[in-house]
Order: sequence, then C-alpha cells, then structure tokens
Amino acid sequence: MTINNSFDNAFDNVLMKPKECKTCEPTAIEDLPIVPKPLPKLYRSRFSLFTSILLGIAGFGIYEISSVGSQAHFTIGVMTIVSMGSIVILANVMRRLQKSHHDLYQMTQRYQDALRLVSICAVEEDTQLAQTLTVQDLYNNAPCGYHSLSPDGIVMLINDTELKMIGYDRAEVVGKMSFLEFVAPESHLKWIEKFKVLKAKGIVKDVEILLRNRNGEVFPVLANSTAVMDKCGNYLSSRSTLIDVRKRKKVELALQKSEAQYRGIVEDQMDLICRFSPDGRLTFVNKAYCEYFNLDPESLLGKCFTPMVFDDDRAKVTAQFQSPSLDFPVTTIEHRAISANGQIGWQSWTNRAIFDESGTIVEYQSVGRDISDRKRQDAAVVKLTKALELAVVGIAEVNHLGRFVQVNDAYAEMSGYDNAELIGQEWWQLIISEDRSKAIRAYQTMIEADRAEVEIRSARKNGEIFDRKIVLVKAYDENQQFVGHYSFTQDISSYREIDRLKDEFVSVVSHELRTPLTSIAGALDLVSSGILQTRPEQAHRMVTIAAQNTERLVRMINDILDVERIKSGKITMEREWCDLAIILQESIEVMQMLADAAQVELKLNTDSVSVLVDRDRMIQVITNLLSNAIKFSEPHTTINVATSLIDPSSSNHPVTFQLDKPSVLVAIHDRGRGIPHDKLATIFEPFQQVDASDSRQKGGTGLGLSICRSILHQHNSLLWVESNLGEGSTFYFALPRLLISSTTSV
Amino acid sequence: MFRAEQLYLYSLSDFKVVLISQLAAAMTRKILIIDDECDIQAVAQLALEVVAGWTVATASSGLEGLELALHEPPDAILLDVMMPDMDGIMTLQALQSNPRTCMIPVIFMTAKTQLADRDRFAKLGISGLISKPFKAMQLSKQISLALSWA
Repeated sequence: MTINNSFDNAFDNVLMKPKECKTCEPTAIEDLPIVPKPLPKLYRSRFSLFTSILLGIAGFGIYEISSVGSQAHFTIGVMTIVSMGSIVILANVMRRLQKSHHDLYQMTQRYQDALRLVSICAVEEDTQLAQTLTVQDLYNNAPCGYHSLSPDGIVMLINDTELKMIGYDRAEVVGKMSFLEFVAPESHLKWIEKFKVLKAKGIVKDVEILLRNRNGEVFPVLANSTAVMDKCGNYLSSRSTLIDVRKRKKVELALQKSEAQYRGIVEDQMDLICRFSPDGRLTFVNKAYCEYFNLDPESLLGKCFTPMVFDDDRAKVTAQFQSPSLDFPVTTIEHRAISANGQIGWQSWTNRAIFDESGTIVEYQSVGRDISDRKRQDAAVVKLTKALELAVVGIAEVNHLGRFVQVNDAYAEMSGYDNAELIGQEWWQLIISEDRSKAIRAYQTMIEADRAEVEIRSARKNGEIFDRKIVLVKAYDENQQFVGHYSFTQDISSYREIDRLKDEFVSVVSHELRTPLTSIAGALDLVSSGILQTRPEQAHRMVTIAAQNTERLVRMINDILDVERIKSGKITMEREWCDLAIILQESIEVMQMLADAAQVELKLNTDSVSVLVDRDRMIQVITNLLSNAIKFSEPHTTINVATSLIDPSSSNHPVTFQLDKPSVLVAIHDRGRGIPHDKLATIFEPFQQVDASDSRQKGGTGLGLSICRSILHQHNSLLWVESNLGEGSTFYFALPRLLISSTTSV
Repeated sequence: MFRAEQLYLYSLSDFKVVLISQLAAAMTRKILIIDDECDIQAVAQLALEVVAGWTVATASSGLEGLELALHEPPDAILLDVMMPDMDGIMTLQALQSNPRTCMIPVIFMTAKTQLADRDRFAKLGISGLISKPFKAMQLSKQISLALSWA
C-alpha cells in the first residue's frame, strides 16, 4: 500500500502499534505542552507521511513509534481527518513519557478540539498536502538518488531511485545500514574522508565514488552533499544527491579510447594536423606540426597560427576561411610558411570546417604537408620549360609513331612552319628525299644506342633547303617504356656556307700558291738536271723564271697573311693626324720608277687636308692603286691623282656612290683599257682579276684590291671604281668628315 | 709553230735517210700546251722539247688553244684547268664537241688537289691528270704513261 510505503520511507524500521485509548477532548495544538513550538518541519513532514498511512482509517488512535537505532520513542495520538484528500495530523510527541490513559484521553479531547479548528483550515491544508505529496513523489522518483545520513553514516532517509541503484528495500536500509556498506571497497577511504569533510565543513561537491549494489556490481556515481547542522554547528544529518554516471563513464571511456586511437593515428602521421578556432587559434596540434615549427604544443595551443604564414600569403589564407559552407565544408590552399629556422617553405593544406546545429563554424580541422620540394621541382620545370621554349636550338618531342607532339619556337621558325602546323606531322617528312635514308639509319642507331647524331638537309615550308645537325635522344615514360624521342636541331647552313667558303678559299689559295711553285720547281728541275748545259740561254731563262716566281710567291704569301690579319682585326691601325697631300706625294714617289718604266706620267692635284689615318697603311693603299693604274695604262698616258672635299648636300659628289656625310674624296684615274661592268664588284674579292694573264704577267697576286678595301674599311672608308671599257678607270675612296680636323673646311 | 726537219735527197741510202727522217718526224709527238701562265708554258715546253724531243705549241687561253687545235691538230693537249674567261673544262667541252678535235686526247694540268675536283674531272672524259707543281724532267714520261705511248 502506497501510504504504508510512504510511512515506511518516513520512518525507517519504525515499529508501530496501535494502543487502545479513549476518546479525549481535543485541545488546540498550541496548548499542547509537549509539542515543540514551532513544530519542526522535519517532524511535521514526517508526521504528514505518518498520517498518510492512516488514510482511510477513521477516528483516532494512539500509536507508539520507535525508530531503530534512535533514542526516539514517540507516543502519539493521531486523529485523522480526511477532507478533500488532505490529512492533518495532530500529534503529541511524548518522549519517554508514560502517560495515563486519562492523560491520553485528555489529550485526545484536546486533539478533537484542535481538529475542529483544523477542519476550518482543512481546505487550505489540503492544497498544502497535495503539494507535499507531489514533492514526495518528486523526491522518490527523482532521476538521481537522494539520501540522508546520520552522524555515524546510517541511512536515515533514501529515495526510490537510490534504492534501485543499490538493489535494496527501504526496510532493509533505513535506520539499519550504513551508507559505507554500499560503497565499493576501492572507494571506502575516499568516502570516509569526504564524509569527515562534510561533517566538518558542511558541503562536499562532485565526489566521484564507486558503489556496489546487492548483486556485487560496481558502478560509479557522482555525489553532492550538504550537511544539516544544529545551532552549535554540529552535524545532524546530510542531504545528498547521487547521480549514476555509469553511462557517462562508459561514454567517457569510449571517448577516451576513441581519443587515444585518434591520437595514435594522428600523432603517427607525417602530415601536419591541427585544429583551430574560427579566429585562428590552435586547439590541437600533432607531433609533426610541432616538429615542423620546432615548438612544443604548449607554445602553440591557444595561439594564432597566422604569424607563421608568410606575410604575402596571409591575406589569401585569411580569405580562404570565409568560403566554407555546409555544402562545401572542405577547402584547400597552398601557401608559404615560416619554419623554425626562419626558412620559407611551401605547404599544402586541406581544411574542413566543423559546424554546429545553427550552421555556424565552430572549428576547423586541417591536414597539411610540406610541398617545398614539389614547388622547387615545379619551378625548375617551369624554368626549364621556359628555357627550352626560348632555346636557340630547335627542340621537338616526337612520339613512338614518329609524329611531332610538341615543338619549341626555334624548331618551328627553323622549319618555316607554325608550331600548330607541325604537331601531328611525321618528323622525317621535313627531310629532303636524298637524305631520308640517312635520317632513318640515324633513327635506328638511336633505337639501339639511345642516342644518335646526323647531319641532313631539310626543306623549309617555302622550299628552301638548309643543312641541319640533329641529335636524336630516346624518350621513356616513368615506367621506362619507350614513348618516342626528342630531337635537338641546329641550323648549320651558315656553318656549311662558311665551310664551303673556307674550302673554296683554301682551294683557291692552294691553287694560287701552287702556280708560281710550278714555275719554280719546273725551271729548277730542268736546270739542275744538267740537260740545259748546252743551252745556256734557256738555262738562264729558267733561272730567271724561278727567281721571279719566287718573289711572286713571297708577295702572295705576304698579301694573303695581310688580308687575313686585317680582316680579323689582328692588325690595328696606328692612326695619327697626317696631311693627306703629303701621303699622296710620298706614294707617287714610291711608284715613280715603275711609272717611268711603263712610260706613264703620274700627276697629283690636291690641297693640304688633315686626316686621322694609319700613315703606312694609307701609303700601302695608294701605292697599290697606283700600281694597278700603271699596269693597266698604255704608255704615254697620264694617271691623275686628285682630292676633293665632298658635302652630300651639294651636287659635287660622285653619282654612283652616294655619301651620306661630308668626306674627303681621293680619285685615282687611269686611261687603261677599262673594266667590264660585270667585274666592277668582283675585282675587290681575293684572287678575282679582270684578266689574270695580264695581271700575273705583270706580277700581281690578285689580292691587292682586297687588301686596299680591308685597310680602308678599318678607316671606316669605302673603296669603289667607275670604269668604261676602252676609256680607263677611276678608283675612289672617301674618308668620312669626322676624320677631318677642325682646320678643314668644305 | 711546229719545227720541220730538213730533208736531204741523195741515193737510195739517202731515201732510207729520208724515210727514217720521215719516220722520225712521224714519231715526234706534237703537243699543244694551253695555260694562262707564260712561265709555266715556257717550263713545260722546254721540258718536252729537250727531254722528249717533242714538238710543242703553246696557247695562253682556251680560245687561242681551240683555234690552234683546229688548225693543226696535235697528238695531245696539255690543258690548264683554272683560266679566266674560258676555263679548262669549257675548253675541253668545246674540243669534244668538234669532230676535228674530239679525238685528241686531253690531259688536265691543275693545282686543284681536292678529291672532289679530281672526281669531277675524271668524269669529263679526260685522258689524264697532271698535278702542279710537276717534275719537268718527268713530264714527258707522265704524258706517255697517261696516253700509253711507247
């Protein structure tokens, strides 16, 4: 019966027995001498519970109540009134008082009077009782355990929830068992200590202890207790709550286990792992992260990570954290970071935003890794690619089918095609048909030996044939499988032309040198054989031929060397201010004997003009020109040498050769047989002569005009000729005005 | 021009002398040297006349040589390659294209020593090639060897 249970709860181990009594006249409660004033709530509540047991019992009765373990014996008269569900208990507590029945009768009468008074208040009391019952219900069925302990730890009060925890009945526990009996041995000391603190200080909070229930099952609870003290501060009883934390503990253990597993995984990672709040403060860092920045966790946690981001990348990093959404919580970023030693390295991060129920980001979890090596490689690749693109050498990638996959600009330009036009074409198609077999052989060599070189001729898009030197290199993929080849191509047309010119020059020079040698060797061979002993005139002629050609050979060798030295700049012009008139005069004097022998007159018409020239080389030029003029002049003719100042703005400059600046013009005019028009340009080339027989008969080497041109070129001067067949030739050279001193005027 | 042997007619023995002289005259080779270098002409001419006793004519250009060959066809032509205007190759082609001169054996004289040049010359139908400088005392022997003369 519920009411009995309630009474039992109020008085554990209470023995109750009815006593016979007579009806007494009720008395008002206040008049009851024994009833403590005011009636302590504790007692009042107890008696409320007591009376609830009597619900349904009409009339009144005298009960004696004693509590096991307690010195309290109560003899009470109980009058029950059931009105509106309210029960009012009037009780007279008589401690160890043995009253006579008459006394009890009188008390009863007084109770009845009191009851009459009480009945007026019954309606109000009913509400209070209902509330009291509600409170009682709440107490018993609370989600946590409640108990009260006596000073020696005996359970005086306990709710249903706690009884269920420990698996005992109230009757077994209240007033009979010490709370320590329910504490697991491993928590005994702790509880004893805490109980002492409670009795001393009146409060203990959040004490976690282990209890052991009837079945021996040990489980954790969280206890909070306050003490009820008397006026002197002595402990009377406790009010304790117990919360079964088994589930929480299980969850905690599971969480700890999960956390440990997580940490185990995370800490073993090579990658950098961290968590941080939306404002960038680190809440977790793994070992790799700490090692990267050479800081311990304590130095990192709670601090913002952005100072470790390279300055220029901070804005990018900060902006990135604005972008996650519930649909797209993950973002990636690459940025530079400042490592422990101050070096700047690249990192790649994958960041996951963690949202709460309202969709607000509460944390980020990030995994990162150092990609500095990859960035360096990328940069190197970019640099190399750029270098290859800009390379002067043509570079092409060809696949295993022999088709262009990629070509750089140099290759395309060399071939005359656009890059796009070449892609897909077969590489050998650019090679002229005569050289294709050579190219194929080279390709086969490359297949066998990984590399091959070949020189072939190719055709540009416009049909022009050019010489190429190709280096073929086999290409492999990452699995070392053959995927094609690379072709490094150089246009060697110019080199070929130079080689050809060199060969031609060598051939020409060789021929030219061999010619006088032939005369020398042949003549001396005849003389030395003795076969001309009887022919003295012919012998003499042979010796003369040998001597003349020896001289010619020497001159030729000297001229060849001069030409090469002047062209290559090995001979430096020793310039000085000279009077051009004096140089001309001296040159004429050198050639006078030759002129006299040819019966040719040399005439000079010049003013004094200062020029900055190499005196000796200028004489060499003029004597060379005079020599030619004399050679090709008919006897009794005149060779005129004249100078004039030329101003391009005026009309007195040669028509055939437009001078773009004021100059001094020297003209050497002869009345020889002239030079054909088609020879006017070629005569300045080495060994190119109008009529070789004439010149060679006259001792020329074929290099004179070439040397003159080279010397004048070193003086920034031009040499040209105007001629009419049968009328003669005029050789001109001009010295630019800047070579003229300020004393000269036009 | 060519030198003539004076003939003396006496008796039959003189006839034999004449015959021998004529035979001797017939045995004397006639060589035409075409070279723009006068000194080389002189050396070669002297070498062939004195050493081999051949009759030698000279020309200073391809054109001049062609005219001489047409007028008096020689037994062989010694032809310089490098000459201005009409070089040795053009002169050879002109000689080969004329029925009067096409059978005259031509020997090139050249200072060009490159193998490519020699290969090119060989394909032109020449009878021999003499390099410059040459041994004057051996010139007639070289020519005889090239032309398979006794």
